[in-house]
Amino acid sequence: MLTLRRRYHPLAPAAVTAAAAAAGLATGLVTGWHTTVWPWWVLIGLVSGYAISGSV
Amino acid sequence: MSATLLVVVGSLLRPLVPGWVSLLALVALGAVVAGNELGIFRVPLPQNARQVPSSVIFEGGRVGALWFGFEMGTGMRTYLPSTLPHLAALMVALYASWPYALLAGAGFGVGRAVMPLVRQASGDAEGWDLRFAQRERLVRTIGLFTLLAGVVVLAAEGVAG
Repeated sequence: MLTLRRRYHPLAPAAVTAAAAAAGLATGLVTGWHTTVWPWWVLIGLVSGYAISGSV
Repeated sequence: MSATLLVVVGSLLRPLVPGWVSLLALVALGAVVAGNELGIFRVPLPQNARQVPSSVIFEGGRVGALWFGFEMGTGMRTYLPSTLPHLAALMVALYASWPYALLAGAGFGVGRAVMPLVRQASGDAEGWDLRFAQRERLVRTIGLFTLLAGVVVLAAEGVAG
């Protein structure tokens, strides 16, 4: 039950996007920023879409 | 569709607007959005602050429900509790090519869908709303810094490219 609550916690999607951003920054530093361009476009769309969903 | 419109408008403006003006506009809006999201100040940004009436479904015939979802999903006629989409929209208008605009639009759609899906999947919608209200400031802050990281990287790539 606790696992289920954590998995569907309102912070979970935000934490996933933050982790993806951190991974993108790390990857960009190592391999060059041009390799991470398309995932960043997806991510900025994802974050802004989640932000205006409010509490439904 | 919103992403397409932004790229069309942006494509018309880009040849006329110097690069430094684009960058300045992005930094200025970024500062306003950051202030809004962190609660430092409140600068209202344009939004069509109305709910989509249910009559759209009933009077729209076969496409009524689809049109209702389109208006609400794209934020065309709804309340915007965050100003992050304004920054994302300016980013798309100033720097996105067609494929990247479509990727951002697809991401936006997924982001819109995630919250109601997660809320429903939790099995306790009211409890979920309560937990969201308790953590809303943190959710907004994480979203802001995630978006800012993307904007900085993409703007730098756009300027460099």
